[in-house]
Amino acid sequence: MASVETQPQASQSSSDNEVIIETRNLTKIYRDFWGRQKVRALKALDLEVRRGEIFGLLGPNGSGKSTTMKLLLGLLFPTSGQALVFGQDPTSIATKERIGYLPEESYLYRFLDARETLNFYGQLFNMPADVRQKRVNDLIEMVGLKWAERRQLKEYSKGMTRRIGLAQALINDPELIFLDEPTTGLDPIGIREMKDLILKLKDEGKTVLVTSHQLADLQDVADRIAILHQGELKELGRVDALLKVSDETQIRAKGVSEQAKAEIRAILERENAENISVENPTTTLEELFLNIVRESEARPGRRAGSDRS
Amino acid sequence: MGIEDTIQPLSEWLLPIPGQQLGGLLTFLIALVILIVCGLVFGFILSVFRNGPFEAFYAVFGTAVKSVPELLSISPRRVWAMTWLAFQEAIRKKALLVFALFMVVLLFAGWYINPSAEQPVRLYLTFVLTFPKWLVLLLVIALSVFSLPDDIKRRTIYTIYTKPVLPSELFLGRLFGFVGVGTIVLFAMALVSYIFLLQGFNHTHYINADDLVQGENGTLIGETTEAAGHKHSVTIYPDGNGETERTHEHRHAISSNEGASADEKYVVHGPTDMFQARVRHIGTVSFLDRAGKNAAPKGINVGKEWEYFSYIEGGTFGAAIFSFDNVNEGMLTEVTEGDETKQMLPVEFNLSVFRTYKGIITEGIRGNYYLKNPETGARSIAIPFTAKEVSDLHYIPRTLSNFKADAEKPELDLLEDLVTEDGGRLELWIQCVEPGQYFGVAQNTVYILEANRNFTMNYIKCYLGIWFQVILVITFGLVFSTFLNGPVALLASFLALGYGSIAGDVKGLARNVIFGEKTGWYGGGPAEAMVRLFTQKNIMTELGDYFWVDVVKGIDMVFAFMIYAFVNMLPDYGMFDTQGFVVDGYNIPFAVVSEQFITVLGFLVALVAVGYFFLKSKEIAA
Repeated sequence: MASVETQPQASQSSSDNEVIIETRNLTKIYRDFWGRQKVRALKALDLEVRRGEIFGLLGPNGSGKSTTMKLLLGLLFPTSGQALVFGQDPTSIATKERIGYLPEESYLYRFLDARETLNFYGQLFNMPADVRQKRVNDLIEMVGLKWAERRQLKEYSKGMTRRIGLAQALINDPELIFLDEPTTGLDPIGIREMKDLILKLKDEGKTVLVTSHQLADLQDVADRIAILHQGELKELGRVDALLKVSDETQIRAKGVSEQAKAEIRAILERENAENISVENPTTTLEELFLNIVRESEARPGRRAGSDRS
Repeated sequence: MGIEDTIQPLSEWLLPIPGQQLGGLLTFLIALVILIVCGLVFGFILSVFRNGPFEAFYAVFGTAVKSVPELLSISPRRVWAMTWLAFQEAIRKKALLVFALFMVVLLFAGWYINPSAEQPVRLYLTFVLTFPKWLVLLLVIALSVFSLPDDIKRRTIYTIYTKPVLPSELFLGRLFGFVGVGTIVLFAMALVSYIFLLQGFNHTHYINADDLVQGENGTLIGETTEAAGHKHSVTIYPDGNGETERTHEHRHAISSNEGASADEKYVVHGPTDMFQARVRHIGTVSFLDRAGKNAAPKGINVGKEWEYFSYIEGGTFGAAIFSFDNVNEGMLTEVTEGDETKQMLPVEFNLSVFRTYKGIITEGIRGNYYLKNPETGARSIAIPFTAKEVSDLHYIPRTLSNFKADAEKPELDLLEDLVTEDGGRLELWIQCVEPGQYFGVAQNTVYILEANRNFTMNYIKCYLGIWFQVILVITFGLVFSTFLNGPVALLASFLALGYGSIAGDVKGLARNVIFGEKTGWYGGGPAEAMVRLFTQKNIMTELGDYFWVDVVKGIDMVFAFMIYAFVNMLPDYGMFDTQGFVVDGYNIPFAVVSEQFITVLGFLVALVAVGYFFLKSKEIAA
């Protein structure tokens, strides 16, 4: 089992240290009809998620991250061990009133339209009609589906379905949000928006538990991550700490001349440094794509990136 | 429930009668206790295998304890949301197409239902009370059994389960939603059927005044023209108005149109008396043997398989004594005979006849009846009649000749002299006078006819019974779908429905065993059968008077009680089927509807709890 590393941020207040999600020796074994063991999906997971952090669950298919989320949502019962959300059993009504859940695929009723969908889920939170209506309007605006609010969800594209799925997850203004593969099926703009939204939720003080295959996505947003493999916790900690390569140094600066670069290289060689690389950094494909789209929207008709040539 | 069944007053049906019945309330409580105990034991055993005894105890105990506040904290808004969802789901799945199908069938039904049949009303009523029922039942079964499994399969349930929704709210919401759809469809079908019923019989006859001939007492008699495959004999009274003879289950009123031509002089109005809701005032029956002694609840068994009728032997002192309570003046009806209007007591006979020799088959078997005051012994003279083996209405005059040669009182008043002061009891004695022939009677075969009730109300009551079935079928479908997948839940629902139609017989069997109502329980139950198997004793051999025999019989009695409790856990759909009353033109007693309502309520309470526990213990994402 990986060592558990918990390093609260120095700036966080005591309420931010409050443990929102806690699993103790959480184990899940799937059995067949006769009670024989089929799969040990999760093995003795110990985890803590604190208030206000974005916590990422990483792992390949079958690693147990979805099982963990389902156990935390009360959709599955643990074989042994315990899962606590807000210090209570995940199946308790009090817990469910404080959480939001965006499933991996938007498991929504396709015969309803966006407004009906949000209205329905709002009713499940016992929200009074006037509060519900306001919340529904705000969320539809937020996810940008005002123009399609009366269309049945079966007519929605995958991106639109994800957006309405996200809106239903936020209908109760939850303190804790579970996002299961939130960027799956989204285009780069959608992914960026989703990541921005996750960061916005963090700014609002909400706690987010997110699973993803897209490692880069989690790297961008998560404060801490847990890496699962074959049902076991392999790594847990702050993203920046985990990704930090301690024995290498990177210097970034603008307006450095070729001569200066040569001098830097010479200094490094003199100091017997290894794997020396002095070069211009590259941007990510995501950044390039987003810049092109933004530019195209700002100046329609002009070939994007022509300035660079 | 048919017209042959004994209908108990509501209070009698609910409460136990020692040695005879447990009563509805006690049966419900016993079944509920057994259900709870079985649920806890089954849940504990299952949990022991999964988690060990300590955790199992904690899980079962915890669930049971938590369930009480959860079942009491149901939110109407959440239930309404779930109801709305279920309703929308059914509508968007085009459940209302069933109504369109019904309309299509109804459009063509007129081709196949022959209004000129001998008993057209029976034919039409059977159709409009049977076809919509099965159509709606099939619809709601399909809706209820697939809804939850579909939600689980498509994982839409994840977004519900992660919201603060109680399993009971989930269950109730679906129940109300589907009941709403079933109600709308059933209501629409009932309404359209009613219109179809009224329109289906609408026909017009004509009379030509020139074809009428002089009858008795200044009347004119003749025939109507043929319409809908029949015609009527006509009687025109001296005042110019008249009526037709009742044939094809209806009659027509006739009014005169003075000064019009011969073919327009008489107006034959639309059919009447087709749809009736006759009210039976049923008494109790006892039998006297051929010597006129030994009153018993059963008469002679002539060996026919249907044990409904008991027989009295002709040409002997054997008699069937019907005892009616609360006979009062309101039951008398005024009947005009010639110029005289008399008060009479309408009593309908539905006797069966068992012939030991053929005789003259067209003439029926002769018998007589008389009325008697069970307190004073005053009795009328015997009134002869012929048993027709069909419904035969007798008007018994209020004033009857005294059987005793009493110069001071040669006549008896039916209400003053023949009915007891306390409780208004009246006895009607029936005897068969032909030696070697038998009259078959049963409690519900002879009754006083009270004033007719409204047919429309009777029709609604019948549909109410169908609606109760719809509710039960949906509830069972939903319960099955909480732990079975769609196709298996569908099969289970059909089996429950199938069992429901024979549940009355199974209950009767269990009751016979427990209360010893019927002899012939040879060989005992499973325990005694096992003993007989190993000791090689056939079922007629006595086991002897030993202590262990009592133990074995005691074990069998426990089995019998368990079977009785089990058979009461599934509904007897027969008790909701009151079609027989409407088709035969009898009013559905209020007690029947009340018993149906209470039964549905009892099942709902139990089944919602069962559904709650199944959903509560279900791993939705497994």
